[in-house]
Amino acid sequence: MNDNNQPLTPPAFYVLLALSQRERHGYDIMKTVAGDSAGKLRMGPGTLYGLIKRLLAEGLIEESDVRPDPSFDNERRRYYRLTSGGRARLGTELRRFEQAVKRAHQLGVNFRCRGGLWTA
Amino acid sequence: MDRLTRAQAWYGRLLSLYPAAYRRRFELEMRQTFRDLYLDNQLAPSIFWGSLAFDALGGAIQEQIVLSRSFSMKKFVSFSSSPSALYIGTGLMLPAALFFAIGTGLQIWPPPLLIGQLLQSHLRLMKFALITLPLLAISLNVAALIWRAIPARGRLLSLSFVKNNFLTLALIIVALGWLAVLFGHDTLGCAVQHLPLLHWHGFTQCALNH
Repeated sequence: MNDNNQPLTPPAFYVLLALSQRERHGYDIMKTVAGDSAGKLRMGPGTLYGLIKRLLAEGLIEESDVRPDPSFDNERRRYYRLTSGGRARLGTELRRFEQAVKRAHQLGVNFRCRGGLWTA
Repeated sequence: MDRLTRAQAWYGRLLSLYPAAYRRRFELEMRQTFRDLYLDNQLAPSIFWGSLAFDALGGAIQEQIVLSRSFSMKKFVSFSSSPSALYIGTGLMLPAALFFAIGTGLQIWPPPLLIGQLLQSHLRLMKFALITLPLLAISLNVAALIWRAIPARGRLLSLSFVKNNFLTLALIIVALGWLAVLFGHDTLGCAVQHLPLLHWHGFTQCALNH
């Protein structure tokens, strides 16, 4: 179930990140994840809905009645949003990243972006 | 039928691989997401469909595994859905197996037996036991499978259908394997060449020549 000590998988992290901004439907989540990960993570519907099922079961996201864009609406679309538990979990994950980067700096590891790649 | 409708029909077939409960919850959404993805696609068709099939198959396998974990072994091997055909089929196979085992044990005939030798043999009981009974078992179980497949059209490719008809399918495979071993691999070539065209005489001649 929802274990805060376990790191999130990259797809789960990016889905939670996408939903932290507003309610989104499936295709919107897919596009946002691809954009946020700079195209590194492209999910198909099979992967996405398997993940949505798991995040729903863990109580990290929930269905939303709010339909942000009625002009582009379709009754077959369902919108999802973060729960308070999901927001807390995302915060924990971001703090984990922050601490990891801080620790790397303490160890004198400097990261530079060369030709689109981050190297130490 | 336009390209979008055709594409949606193909994607629907991929979705039929998912468990029924999962489809009830997510199928409409997944179809809608596929529609958006298809209309927005800028990839070459081969790459688009390749990645989509990989994604759908991976998801389906994962969901089927999740589902199978919730099954007990009693549910997995479901006797209740196909008792009579299965029992009769097994009953037909047993004398054939017994006859073959005793014959081999007493070195009455060397395995694998070629169909040519068998067709030329005067032992009617041997012909009946070794060929007719397994063929009857296969026919009966295939008929039972088709009978059960009619109401389950949408789920034919799903693992749940395979699971619910596990023993029937296993019996058909065993019986087919049995006939393959019995007739030898040369005769299988004759079967592939002649039987799809219903050339029974050609098949018999080819088998006898081997």
